[in-house]
Amino acid sequence: MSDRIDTPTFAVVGHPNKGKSSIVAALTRRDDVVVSPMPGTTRTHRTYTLEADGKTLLRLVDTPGFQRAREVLERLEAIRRNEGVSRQEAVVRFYRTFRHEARYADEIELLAPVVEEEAGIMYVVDGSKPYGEEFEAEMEILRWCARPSMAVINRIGKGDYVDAWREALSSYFNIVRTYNPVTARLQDHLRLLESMGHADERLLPVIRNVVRYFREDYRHKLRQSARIVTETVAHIVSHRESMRIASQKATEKEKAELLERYKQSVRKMEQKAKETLRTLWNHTHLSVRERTALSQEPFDLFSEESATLFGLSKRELLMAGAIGGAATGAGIDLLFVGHTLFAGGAIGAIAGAIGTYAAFDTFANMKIMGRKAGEYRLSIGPIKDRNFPYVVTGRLLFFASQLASLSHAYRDEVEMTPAEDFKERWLSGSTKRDCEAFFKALRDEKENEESMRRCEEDLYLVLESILDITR
Amino acid sequence: MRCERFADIVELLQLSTDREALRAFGMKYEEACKNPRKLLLLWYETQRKKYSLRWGETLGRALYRFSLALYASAFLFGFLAAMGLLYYNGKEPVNVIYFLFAAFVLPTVSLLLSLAATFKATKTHNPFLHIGLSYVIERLWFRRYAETLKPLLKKEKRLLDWAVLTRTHTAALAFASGMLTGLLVTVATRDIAFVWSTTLDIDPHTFTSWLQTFAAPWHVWWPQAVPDATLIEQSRYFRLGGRIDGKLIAHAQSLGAWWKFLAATILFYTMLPRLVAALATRYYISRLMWRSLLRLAREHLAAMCTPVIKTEVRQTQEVRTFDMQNACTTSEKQTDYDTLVVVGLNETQGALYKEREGIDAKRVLYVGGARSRAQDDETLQEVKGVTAVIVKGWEPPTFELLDTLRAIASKATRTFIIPVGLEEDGFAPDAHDLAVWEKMISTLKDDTLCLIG
Repeated sequence: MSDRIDTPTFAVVGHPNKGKSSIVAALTRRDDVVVSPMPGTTRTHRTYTLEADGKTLLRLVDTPGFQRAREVLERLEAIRRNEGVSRQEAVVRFYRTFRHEARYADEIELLAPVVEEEAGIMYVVDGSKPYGEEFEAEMEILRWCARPSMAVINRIGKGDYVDAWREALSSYFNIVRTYNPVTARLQDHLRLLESMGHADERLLPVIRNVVRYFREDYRHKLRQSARIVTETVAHIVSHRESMRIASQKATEKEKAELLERYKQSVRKMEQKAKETLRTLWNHTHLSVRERTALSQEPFDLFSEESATLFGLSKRELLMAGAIGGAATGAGIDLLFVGHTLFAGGAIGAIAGAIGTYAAFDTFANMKIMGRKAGEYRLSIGPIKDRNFPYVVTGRLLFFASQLASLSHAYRDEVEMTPAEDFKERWLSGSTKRDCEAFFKALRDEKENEESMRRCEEDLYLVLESILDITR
Repeated sequence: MRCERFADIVELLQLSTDREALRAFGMKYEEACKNPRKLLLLWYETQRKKYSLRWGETLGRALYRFSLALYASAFLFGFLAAMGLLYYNGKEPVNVIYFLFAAFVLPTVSLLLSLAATFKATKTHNPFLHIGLSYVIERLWFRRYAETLKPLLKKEKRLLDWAVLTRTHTAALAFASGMLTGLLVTVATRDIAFVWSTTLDIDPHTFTSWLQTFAAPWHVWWPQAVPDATLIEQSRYFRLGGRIDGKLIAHAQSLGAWWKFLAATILFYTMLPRLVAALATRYYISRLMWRSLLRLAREHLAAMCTPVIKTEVRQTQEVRTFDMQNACTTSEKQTDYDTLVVVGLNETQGALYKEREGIDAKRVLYVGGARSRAQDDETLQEVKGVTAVIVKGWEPPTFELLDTLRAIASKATRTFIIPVGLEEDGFAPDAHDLAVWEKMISTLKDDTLCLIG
């Protein structure tokens, strides 16, 4: 291991197409690591550093696969024999002698981090395919490197040859672990990381720190996901769309146009939330599939025609009229020094209100400097359907849980429509109670800060339980 | 927390969103992570100079003008109300009960409405506030700032309501101040005759005890402002007769003492409660603003106090491209070969696949696996004629294996590569694996090589 024990470095090596790049992608949580079905695609080694607050915690080096292991081993044996050096030194000398030799380019690239950065070794094999003697040359070369090392059995296909591999690998490696980077979840990643700590006991405290950072970061992202879900639900459910209409009564065409605009807005809000979640979980390259869009869900909408004058609604103007009338009447009361028994104020309020109400339409249609003083608007929303907030929450929660659990080595298309029984998984007990209080406040257009916070906290706990995060 | 600072911080939250910068700040003041308010204020103080913040300034300007107009109007209205209430035309004296109603009852009702509005300050719809004149003025006043303030009000819809609430008490205080000023000016510059007059059957003795109870807040430090029984007896007025009677005239000088009582009433029942209400409301609204700010800043604060985990990659990814020409692929299997070469399998496995493929060969050779290269070279000397090569279809060919195929092809007249599969796959290779083999073999650019798939 590197003399810089505070920054463990591991080179991920092995035969071509055994999932080395997938393991690097999964552990570093990057979906841009090139994973190709063609063997020999990776040409050079590439170092991925995992950082926390700018400080490097861990380095993983993705390397090309062994291409001429037997030949290289023969070279190493010749160097050792001819120059009388140790095995480890023979590796170093081979590296320095042949580093510009195209024939051994892949082996030079995979040995570079071992020789130059004293990296540990993670040897990756495919446990779904049988063990073969041709792998012994690779393992022997790695043994000659004399670095802390471990073996990882990755099951790519459906075959099961894990036991045979374990037996063969245990002759060369003290630590042998099974790990599938494509299907692995957080706990699997953390277990593998901890195993790296066991390859060299000096690394253990450092690796445990890395694991702690991983967990903290994961929880932080789950909280953010819960917040994004609740805020989006609040925006969508309480969303209003309005447009100016020609007269007091909206036409069918105007209603249809506004409804379409409304659905587009709702679709955009949901899409924006999903993009934010994808960026949060670093799955920006993931290909997703959804059976139904949110705006296709049937939901009950509330529409209303309204009028305003000078930006104030009829109701507000009525109040203003009443108050203005009352103030005028009160002035008259003062003039009569109380003899009117404040009847002036009362009469003024009533007169002001009636006058405003009666004259509203007249003033609204008046033109001042070429523009109408008032306007008519058609509004649609918010959604009163009781089921709708649950639909939105379920969709986004499922989306978030899928992103959180998906390995960054996964490259296939993902189905993002929740199954029928997903609702039962998240909607129970206190979550149901708290979120219903939140949704009710949204429907009734009341203050919802406290209920939103409680619902958000419950959704965070739901995500934790779905993803099986142990404290 | 003032509205202007609130607006500035909200604007700063919109402008400063870089996670790493936030975390860098949080690391500098790590201790403050335990105190979100302190952390947020520290951040605001250090960051605001980097941005030209507009919202706080715009809101402050709007509120300043609005407040000034409101307070001035309220003061003037109170002054004029006092002048009106104390107007003495020489015929009928000023009824203190009437003044008390205007100086105590109405302001108390107004105070209760304001307090009700304050209790509802957490709601976005506050009916107690919305029926007030100041609210209506606010809606009309702030229209010109609507464009600038729209994003701010979108973040906190209740902000203007809170601004109005804090100013409502101050406006009422201004009104009471105006009223008190009006009273003092009138009393100082005119000769007012104060009486008490009511249709209700209240004897002076009862009225005295009521008023003395009413004056309890100031009777210790300002006893002169507490009307005694004599004054009350002397200042009873009945309208029957239509003129001021001799008794009132005889005690004209003492009747003026009522002004102290009225002044104390304004001080203790209008101004003091409003002052307390104003301070309490400011404190309460400040708490609501903090609550709102901490909610809005939750993500920023979390970003400051949570480590930023990220990955960096040093080198650019260089991928190998393969020059793949059309490979020879055939599904027609020959059965007779001059040579069969088995790569990477032991003799038992070789025999199994030979039989399954129905291959009949004059010689069978084994290479690869744990054998050395020297051994393979020696073995491959025996290759001749039409040669079949059995390879593990599930293992992609390495360059070393391609070297072996090249060596075989150089000795054979024709070489047929037969990738085989595992038992669980019916001993047939996977279509994907075959495609990989096809592509890799094509890189050899040898027409004598053909893949059987």
